[in-house]
Amino acid sequence: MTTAFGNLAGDYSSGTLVLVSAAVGMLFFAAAVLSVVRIIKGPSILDRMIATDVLLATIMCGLGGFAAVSGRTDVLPVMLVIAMFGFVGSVSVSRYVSRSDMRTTPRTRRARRRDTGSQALRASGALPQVKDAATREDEIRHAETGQAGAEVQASGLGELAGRPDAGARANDPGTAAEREPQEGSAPREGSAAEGNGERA
Amino acid sequence: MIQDTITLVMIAGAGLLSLAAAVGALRFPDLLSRMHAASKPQLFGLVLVMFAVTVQVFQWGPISTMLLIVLFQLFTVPVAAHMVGRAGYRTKHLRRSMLYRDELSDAVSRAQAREVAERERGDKERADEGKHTA
Repeated sequence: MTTAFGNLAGDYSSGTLVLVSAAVGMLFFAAAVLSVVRIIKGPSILDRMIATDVLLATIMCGLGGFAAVSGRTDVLPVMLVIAMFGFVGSVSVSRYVSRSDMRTTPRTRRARRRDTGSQALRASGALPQVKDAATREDEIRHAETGQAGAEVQASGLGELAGRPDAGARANDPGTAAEREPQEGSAPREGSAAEGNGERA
Repeated sequence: MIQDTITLVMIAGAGLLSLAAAVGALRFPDLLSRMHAASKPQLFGLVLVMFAVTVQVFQWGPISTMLLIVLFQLFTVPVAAHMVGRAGYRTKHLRRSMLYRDELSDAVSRAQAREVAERERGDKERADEGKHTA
């Protein structure tokens, strides 16, 4: 067989080349199968997106290996296109994911993983308590109840405030009529960027 | 012969890294750790494979295409991983008690409070305009 491995095929028996290529092919195959398992299992759409990225990267590396072993370089534009698809898909899914899309796989008893290590340490007081933004938001909302009154509570603004996109806000039934997505997204994006920029 | 040995070693390394990425994406318990495991070996494996192809085919056409591929991945994989992490963090459902330190929650809650205040102001302005025109 005419391959790019001119020297290797000449000096060694072609058995070495075939053996190593087959072994590496099995590695790529195993990686692809495992990422497909994560695509099936992944409890949220972001997990599935990550696993799709891994699958695409494995395919790209497999194509690159094929290009190296066989010496044909016409698969390189294919790799470029695959890379572009992976990036665009990843970014668009994570941009428009909303809270209602989480946990799309039902939680079975075996799928629950309990983390007893940090919980036990936190209960005993050795680790500081982690107050996530959910608790802080509740505090903010409770503090605002006196000022803004029932209007803020009823429209569920505390729940809404965390979403990074306009598509998810349209999903919320109570507020879809009032919100103008374009007007809302500009200040929201700016403040979100400010908020993240302060930390970064 | 050295060429071919280098090529085989690099392709084997890329295979191992892809396997590591897939195993990491499968076995880690949380979205954010899976994101770490999935994005880092992917890039390095691609670089190794591109080296392997370059060693075999040393012409400027394929080399420029491969450079383009590697640069594209280098710029976009961190962006995609960051966006996935941001979406996973801000939708709150994926954050669990596995965090030891949460350094971002301050900035996020401040930004959210600011958004709430801005939205209230926008509502009040719109309500006032409605009253004036009606």
